[in-house]
Amino acid sequence: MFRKIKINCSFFLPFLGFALLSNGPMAVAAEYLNGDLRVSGFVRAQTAISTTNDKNSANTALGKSDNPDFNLNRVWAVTDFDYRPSSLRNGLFDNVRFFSRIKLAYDLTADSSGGVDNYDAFSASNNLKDRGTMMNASNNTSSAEIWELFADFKKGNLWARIGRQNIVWGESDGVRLLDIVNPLDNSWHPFEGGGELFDHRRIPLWMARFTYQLPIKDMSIDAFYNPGDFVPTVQADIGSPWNVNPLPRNGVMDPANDFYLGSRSVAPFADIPLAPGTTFLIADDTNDRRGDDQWGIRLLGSVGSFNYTLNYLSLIDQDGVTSASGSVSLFDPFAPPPPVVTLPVLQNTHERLDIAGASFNWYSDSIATVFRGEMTYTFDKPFAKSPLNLVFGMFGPINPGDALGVAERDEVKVMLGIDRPTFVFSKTRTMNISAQVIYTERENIDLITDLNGAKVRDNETQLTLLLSQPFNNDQFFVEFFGLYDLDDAYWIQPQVRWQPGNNWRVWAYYNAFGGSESQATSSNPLVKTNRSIAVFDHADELNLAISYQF
Amino acid sequence: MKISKLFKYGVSALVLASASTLVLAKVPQVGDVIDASNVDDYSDYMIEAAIELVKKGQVLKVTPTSKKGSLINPYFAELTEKNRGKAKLLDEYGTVGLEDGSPWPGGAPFPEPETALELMVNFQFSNLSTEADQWSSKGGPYKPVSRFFYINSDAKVYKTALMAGGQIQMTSRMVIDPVPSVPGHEDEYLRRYLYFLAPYDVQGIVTLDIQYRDQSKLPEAYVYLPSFRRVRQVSAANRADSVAGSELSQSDLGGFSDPLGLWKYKIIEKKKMLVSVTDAVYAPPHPEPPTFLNGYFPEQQRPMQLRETFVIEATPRFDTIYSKKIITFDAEVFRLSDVGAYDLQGKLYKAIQQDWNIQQDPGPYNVAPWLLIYNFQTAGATVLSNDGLKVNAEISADLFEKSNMKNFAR
Repeated sequence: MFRKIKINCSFFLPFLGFALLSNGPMAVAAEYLNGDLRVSGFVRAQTAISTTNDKNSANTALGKSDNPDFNLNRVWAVTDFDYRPSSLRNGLFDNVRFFSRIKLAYDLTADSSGGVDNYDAFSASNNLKDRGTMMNASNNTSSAEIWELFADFKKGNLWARIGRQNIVWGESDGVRLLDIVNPLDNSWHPFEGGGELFDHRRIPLWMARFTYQLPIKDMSIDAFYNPGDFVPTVQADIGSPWNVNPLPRNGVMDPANDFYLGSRSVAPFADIPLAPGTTFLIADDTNDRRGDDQWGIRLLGSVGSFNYTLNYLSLIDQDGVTSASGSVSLFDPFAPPPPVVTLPVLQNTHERLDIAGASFNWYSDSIATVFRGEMTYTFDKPFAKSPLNLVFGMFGPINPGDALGVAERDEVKVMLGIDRPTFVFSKTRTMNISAQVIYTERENIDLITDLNGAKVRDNETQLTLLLSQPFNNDQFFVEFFGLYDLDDAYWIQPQVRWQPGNNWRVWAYYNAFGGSESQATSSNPLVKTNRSIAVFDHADELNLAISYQF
Repeated sequence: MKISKLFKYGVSALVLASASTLVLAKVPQVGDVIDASNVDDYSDYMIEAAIELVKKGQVLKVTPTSKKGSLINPYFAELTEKNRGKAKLLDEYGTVGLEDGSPWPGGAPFPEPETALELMVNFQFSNLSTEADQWSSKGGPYKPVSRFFYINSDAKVYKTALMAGGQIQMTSRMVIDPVPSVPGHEDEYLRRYLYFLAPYDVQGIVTLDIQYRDQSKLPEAYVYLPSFRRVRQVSAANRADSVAGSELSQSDLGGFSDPLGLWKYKIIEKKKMLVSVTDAVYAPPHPEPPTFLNGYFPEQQRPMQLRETFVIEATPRFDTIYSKKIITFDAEVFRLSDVGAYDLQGKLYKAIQQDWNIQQDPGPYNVAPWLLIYNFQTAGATVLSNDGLKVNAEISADLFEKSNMKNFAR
């Protein structure tokens, strides 16, 4: 349902800031050193106007404001430095290149929006050990970072890229099967419109990548090695409109604050002050993983217009799994024992994942359609166990092993998709039509629950559809993206873009989420499966962005 | 009246009629400047699309006709002679090779074409390949070589796209090793990449076309999108689809860019016509902006020579936006000069013109500094300029591998 939007003057601040930033002298990419160095980029103001009164339950659970007027108000700028020195061409190397992307951002969401508390809009590296690898400096509202920084070398059939970079494998759009080398920054706007915006959320890592062209037609080997720059998926800070995690963060819970566990409030005890120094520990191995290497290798080949890859990755789980590792008793300092409540001690673990995968694309002349496919097989993927799994017998729980830690199960994901440009509204410009089906199957998952008390689904299927129609010499685009979860959840995103000339770009798109937030399992209607994309129904919003590129 | 008198009057009438025709169809003379005021006088020497462009403001200048042999790369001409009589059409679609089906070793396959299809085969080898094995930017494979100027109906440039690019013959290679074919690619004709440098939102897009010797087969097309960071295969079937929002369709690159098997051809006539074969003004180097005459035309006076010319009618075998294309090809060098494209109602839809010049170092090689496409129905136009293009530059074949596309960009 649409809500009445309260707009105060701060709504216009991003645009004012944008206007100031964009009033620079550069109108086109600047070239230096005889064109060897190109400097280009953009300045963008972006706002997401919340159109719903639905609450963000993660913030509700943490006692934070949960009904923002704006989900995002941000001004940000990107500058790319691309240097290909002619003097180093055809010398020791055939070609050498240096690239860097600098990103500056100023976030006004908390300042300009009602219904949201202050939060750290740039929480990406706050608690990372050796955070210098992130090359950023930030406070709650502004950030400066060297986002990408790498050098390319080419010699004969060998190409290498060394530095902070993103690597994308696979064939899927909008969902990540093999595209899992880099973690995502979900702290600021996880439901962008289109690939360009999505790419700004991939966090570059320090890696070395090599591609060797084999002496066989269109066949090559592509490999990467990350010597230890493990960065987990970045979640939005507590209080952010994009916070999805109802658990306290940062390893140590401050007992002076009220707190909750999952959706099951311990509110009856929340007003009881805890003993000074009492801590509620959440073990987190993120920093232990810093320094652990990650790698991947794939073979690329072609048979005519059939192109395939065979992939293997050894990665550390970026999302991590939060599970119970024991219990802690909390005492009322003004009352003698026994403890007021005994709560589980949580741990957040990031296990190493071994993933085998494959992908293909193939063009069929007869139906003028490109078919795409991708699959991953993850061995022993960790899932959280939960005390809720316990079954009690006469002498206590009969299955204590199902309560603590993680269970490891294999997981298969498969994507099949088609791309078919088709003349629909115009005889001279095709509409791009892309559709995908994504299926996930998990091995023997029955006993596993997460800490919210919901089961992980043993299988799930999503369908996606993307329609994109340019008009007026590609100056105006109308697009539609839809994702439908067969377990009754959806995300739809209509979009219009205006791209006049070389410099200005304007987007408007709407995000709508709906359906069931959880589903009953077929075996037991009282047991709910894990949450679907419908849990984001608090994030229905109108997005507006204006960008000046040079 | 006596029959002899009738005969005399009849002869007189015929002489007068012929004389008046001669007055209307003025023979172009070196130095003549043709503009909207006098273009009708030269209508016998131009196709309709070229006449209409002059009426829209283009100005032509008749230049001296080049000597025979002076417009062809000498080695290409030598190979044409060496291989004379060896070419065979392997199918009805225009696939050419030697008697045993192996790839054509180079040169114009049919120096004296007897059919329109033979002429089109010559065009393919002479025009697209620029009589050479490969080309790229003289500054290297990543440096700008082409610009798209998008012109609106007010004759204003509203957008400019900047590209690097390169092309390599996979077969019919003449000079640069491996000759005559890149091993393992004997079924291919050429590969071509474009690397977009500007505007920013297309920066880093790389396209790769793989064209096959088999002229019944559509090209393979790939695009690397830096925001997706993936090489995507794309359909090449929609030949009427606009190229990057320009007035050019997939069929129109270089004036005619479809596999030959998609069209049927007919020689309408072979006669002296005004064609552009050389002396085009060079495009200014990026970032210097060009000056377009009357908003559309890259040259203040388009140099035209009066030369023996084939006028070809091409009609599509597939469903497209054109009912036919009328194309002029020089009868000695087989390069395309003018195209008139007609819509499905038979009305003139677009004019396409390619202008040529000779690059001497290295050389001599023919290069096309300009391609103009004008849409008569919208008054929009696109001009493609090429500058700094180096023919037969050293360029590694592995640059044209699919796995290399990602290496261009982020």
